[in-house]
This record gives sequence, C-alpha cells and structure tokens, in this order.
Amino acid sequence: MKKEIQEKIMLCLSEILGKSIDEIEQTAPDITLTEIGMTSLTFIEFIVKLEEALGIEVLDSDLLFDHFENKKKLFETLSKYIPGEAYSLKKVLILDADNVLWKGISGEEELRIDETVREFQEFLLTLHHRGVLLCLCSKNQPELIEQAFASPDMLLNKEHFAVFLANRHDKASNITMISKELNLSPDSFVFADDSDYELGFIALNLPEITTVKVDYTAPDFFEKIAALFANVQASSKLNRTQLYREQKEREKEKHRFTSVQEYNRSLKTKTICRLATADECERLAELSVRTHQFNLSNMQYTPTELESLLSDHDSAVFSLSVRDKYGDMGIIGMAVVKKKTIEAFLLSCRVFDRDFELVLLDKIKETIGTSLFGIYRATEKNQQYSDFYKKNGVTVI
Amino acid sequence: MTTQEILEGLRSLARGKLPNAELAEFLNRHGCENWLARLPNSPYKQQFAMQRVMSSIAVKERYKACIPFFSQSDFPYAVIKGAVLSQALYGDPFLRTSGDIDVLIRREDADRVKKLLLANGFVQGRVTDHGIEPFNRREILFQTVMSHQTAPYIKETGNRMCPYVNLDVNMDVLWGECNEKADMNVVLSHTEESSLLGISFQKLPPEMEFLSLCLHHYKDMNSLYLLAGGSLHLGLFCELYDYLRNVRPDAQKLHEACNRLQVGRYLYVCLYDTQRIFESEVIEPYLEVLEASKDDSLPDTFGLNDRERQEWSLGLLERLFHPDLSQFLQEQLTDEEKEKIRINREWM
Repeated sequence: MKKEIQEKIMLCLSEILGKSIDEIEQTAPDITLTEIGMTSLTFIEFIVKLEEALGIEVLDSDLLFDHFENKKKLFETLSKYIPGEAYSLKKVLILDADNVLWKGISGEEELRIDETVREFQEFLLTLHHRGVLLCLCSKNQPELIEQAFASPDMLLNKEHFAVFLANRHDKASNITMISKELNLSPDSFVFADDSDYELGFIALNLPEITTVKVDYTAPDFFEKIAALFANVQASSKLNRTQLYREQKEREKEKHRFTSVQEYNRSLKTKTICRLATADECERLAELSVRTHQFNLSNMQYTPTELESLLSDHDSAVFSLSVRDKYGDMGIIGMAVVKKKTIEAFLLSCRVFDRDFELVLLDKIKETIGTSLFGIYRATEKNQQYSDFYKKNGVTVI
Repeated sequence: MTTQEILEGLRSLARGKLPNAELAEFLNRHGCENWLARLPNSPYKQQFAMQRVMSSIAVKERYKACIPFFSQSDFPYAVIKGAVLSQALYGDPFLRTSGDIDVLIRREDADRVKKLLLANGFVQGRVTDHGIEPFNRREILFQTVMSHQTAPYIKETGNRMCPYVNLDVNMDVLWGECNEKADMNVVLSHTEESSLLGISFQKLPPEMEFLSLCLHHYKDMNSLYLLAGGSLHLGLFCELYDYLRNVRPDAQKLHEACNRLQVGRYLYVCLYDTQRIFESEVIEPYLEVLEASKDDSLPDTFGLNDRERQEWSLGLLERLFHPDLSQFLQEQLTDEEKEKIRINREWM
C-alpha cells in the first residue's frame, strides 16, 4: 500500500484512539484494535474519518469489526478501496501437514485424526469443491507424508491438492515456486501452519501472503480461513485443481516448440469464440471478478447485468472457450463491447502466451468493425498488458 | 386475576374456548389478539376484520415493491416473518400485523442488495412529516455495524392507504451483540419457492423458519434495548406454540439445523419457557430432541451475550404480566447499560 495512504490511515487511527502515530505504528500488526482502545462507537467514528480521508465508502459487507480487527486486517480490507491497489481475492490455501491435517508428526509419533481434525478436513473439501486451490507445503519427508495420507481416516487425498510439496527447502522458497507454477500472485494465497516460526518466516519474506495459525486448542482458525475465502463463489462449477493439473501437462510440452502456433496445433487446440449466451453469464461474471492480470479495465459484472446486456442492441458480450488434447478449459476469456467501445476485455491466467487474446479481439473486429476504442484502467497487476490495445490497432480511452 | 387464572384462561383459549370478558381483554393486550379474533362469536372479530383489510393492502404494496428483489438470481435470500409467517401459522397471509417486510441474506451480498434496491427506488432512511429523510452516513454505519441488519430501506408507494414500504434486510439469524455469527450459507441453502398475490419469492423450509423465528423471539425476550421498550409479551410464546401446533416442523431436522448453526441452547430455552406457559404435548418432542443442547445458565436470565447476561429477579409469569416491566428493568440496570439503551434509541 502506498506510504501516503498508510499515513492517512494511521492518522485516522491516532485521532480516534487518542494515541500518537508512533505508538500505533509500534503496535504489532496482529494486536487487536480493541486492545489499544477501540470500542464499537469509536469504530463507527473511525470509519467515518477513514471515508472522508480516503474518499471512499466502505461496503456494507465489510462493516464488521472483524474486518478491521487489527492493523494487518485493516490494511488488507482497505487495500481494495484504494485506486490502483488491486483487491487480492484469495484463491489458494497452502497447508502444512503435521499438526494441521492430522494431530502429531508423521514418522515420530502416532497420528490422530479425531473429530475436530475430520471437521477441518471436511471444511477443506468444501473449499476445494468451491474452487479454492489447496496446496501442501511440508518440511517432513515425502514418504512419511504419503504414509500419513494413506491412513483410512483421511478424508483428503493427493488428488485434492493442486501442488503437493514435501521437502527440506524453506517454505518461502517453496511458496514462491508454487506461485510460479500456478501463475498466481502470492497476494491471492493464504498460508496455514501450526508453527509460529514458519508463520513469522512467511510474514517476513512474503508479507503479501495472509497467514493463519492452526491451533486445535482454539479452533476459531476454521472461521478465519472461511472468512478469507468468503468471496469464492459457492456456485462455481469449475474443478480448478483438475484444470491446473491439465495446465501443468501443457506446460511440459511447450518448450518443444518454436512458435505459439506450432504449440497450439500440437495440442489439437480448438477455440470457440462467439457472442455469449444466457447460460454462460454466471461463468462470465465469475471470470470478471476473479481475473486481475489480463484484465484491461477491471470492470466487474453480475450475471444479471450480463444477461441484460445480451438483449441490449447497442451491446455485445463475447465468450471464448478453449479445449485441447489435455482437456476442456471451458470459458477462459470474455469481452463486453458497447457500440464501438470495448468496455471489458479479459483472459484467464491459465491460458497466457497462447495468443488466445488475439482470437478474442479478431472476433470483436469481425463482429463490430475495426475502428474500435478500448477502455484501459491501470492497476498493479495488469500493467504488462498496458500496450495490448495500442499494438493491435485499438484506440485507448 | 391470579397468575394461575390467567394461565388457565390462556390454555383454554389455546384450545378454542373464549375466556370471560376481563380475561379476554387482558389477553388481547398481551398479544393474543389472533386467537381471540378467530373464535366464533368473538367480540374481537370486527376489530380484527378491519385490521386484516389494512394488512392486506400493506402486504400487497410491500410484495409489489419487492418484485425486482424476488426475481433476481444473483444472490440467495428468503422472506421471513410478516405475511409469510402468517400464511404458515394461520393459512392466511394477512392475519399477522407487521410494519415491514423482512428478508434474510448473506452479509457478503449486502452490497449487491443495496445496489439493486437503490436502483429500484428504495432509500435508506426514515419517514418524517416531510416524507422520507435519508439516514446520514453515521446512522447507516451505526445500524449496520451494531446490529444484524443493514439500515432499513423505505420506498414510496403512491398509495395513500399504505404510503410507504419498509424493507428490513437481515444479514444474520443471530443478533449483533452475539459473539457468534450464523453460517448464512447453511440457513439459505434450501430455500423453497412460494407465492403470494401472484408474486413468487423464496422462503425458508419449516424447520429453518421456526429456528429463525425462535432466535428472533429470543432476542425480543433478552435484549436490554428491546426489553426497555416493552418487547416481552405473551404473544411471543403464543406464536412459538402456534407454529409447532399448526406447522409441525420435523423435530429431527430442526435438531440437525440447530447443531449445524450451534443455536440449540437458544431454541431450548425458548421452548422451555413456552412449555412452562402451555404445558402441551405438542412441545414435548421438540424439547426432547434439543435436550442435549440445554444450557442451564440461560433460563430466567436476560442479556444477549455472556458479558451482558444477568438473572431476572422475577419469575417468568411475573415478568410477563408485570404492569410496567420497562420501569422495573430500569431499576435493575447499571449506568453503562442505561447509556447503551439511550445511544441505541438515538441512532436506531
């Protein structure tokens, strides 16, 4: 978060709590604001001050004391309101194994998978089914972890994990590797571990990752994790873990080819790019909310908004679906065009570097015409695509 | 009249027998008007008939105003209380008087709801002599932060018999002061389609509807702020009894829902007190399935969380029929609690 914005927030806190900015800055990020004097009534005054200072309006869904519980959460919650600060939708949950997925340390003691652990595993399965990518990151030996997973009491198995790492590397290096493998930014990650050391190490080296301590003596960590993924659509029909596995297979082949076209041909790629239909609107809306890198205007839509655009004569909604020999990736791109202006143009990070964005743009030109305007709104995450419109003959507005 | 006479009269009324005039009037003042009005030859019928006509006009306007809300599919919701509850309890949507329409949503959908309602002519505000006065930002924040509801929405109808529609958006079945929050994905997971006056909408299945009703009434029986305003009355218990008697929710499903939401102890104490009043076999099976959730620290106390909770110095029937319970309560509260009530009155 920009320093200037942070300073404004600290000043608001200082004025409300009657403490100096230095005092508040010295408070640890996870100390609750209640502990330093915030009450329900002063919280309301704090929000009023913040809104005035930052020129924002806090959403009703964020008006929970929990979302501003401590400095860390406060900055996380507010980052989505700051222009240029992309809202970090959480997509990935990285889990330690020992004393997280079971009680005990595999290879050193008998493992226990009791009722509370089973409840946590059921909860993780729910997240998995809702499209959250589960990743394992353990420092224990791989064969001991595999042995633990083989227990008949385990509800989770390796298939539920998009990445499964058990090695002696430090966890920050492993998580950086996971980020590259999934092509997802670490600020969409949540890291859950029972070890204060590991949590502190990640907080220091990868501060953009949200950390949660797993402590079975105080099982409110379930709720903390649930709250971080509250924006994951329950209705998402994609098995994202499976999709990422298929993508890994594609990546392995890529290095054999000298051109994107050759590579796409080898994968027997088929694209369907057309005007969207009503039954696609749910998936398209989800895509508009989840996509941040190749998303040129960051416009977000609800299914109802997209449905009404379908019947608007001045608008066109395009969907792009792709399948190849490794699987059906479903809808991976969309565009919304009003008259001759491309209001939204986005592509899922799973399909970068395969020129599918050109397929989508070509379809728009074929349907609407070649004299097009395109809305581009810069964010921290989409800057590498800032010249896409210019390079492809679309006037930027 | 003694407490025992009142109880016997009430139980007779529950079985369909009109009590003597003095007792009937007493029970009418304590929220039993529905039962009194429905009896043959009841002197309350005419008064109630007028009320029903006004109610039908208001319900029609409310449901019409909410069509854009009901017909969207971007977020789950359920209509609760009001006409929906009246239909479930009595087979007639216009018998239960209500000043507004209530919907249940998930907190994460509150912004979409706001966008939809504002786009359809609703305002977050209050009615004054000069029409609708929008809430200022502080008032909106206070109501949304401190309670389980957003600040209420109002819309003009253009109908002089019912000039405004009030819509209450509830983001939890538990209350703002509660340390826990209910999983609204569970509450709204199995809504049912229903219709009223040709307008389709979603409602809760009976077990979840009863759970929500119980928690609502528990709040009325325990909130310092609401008790100070006279919220404790016999009608709350009559309604719980009526729901079990007329709708007969599945006890096992109710038990499972309570377990999933961890609210069994609140339902148990509501039913326990209802049983103390009615002593009916209708209530027994529900008490049995919820027995394991019993929390011995709850009966004969008030306050909505562990910090606020304190014992009543009056028994259940004494406080139900106390001539001025609000005043009695004022004498029991600390200065801090009185200040909290004052602030709530100022902002809500």
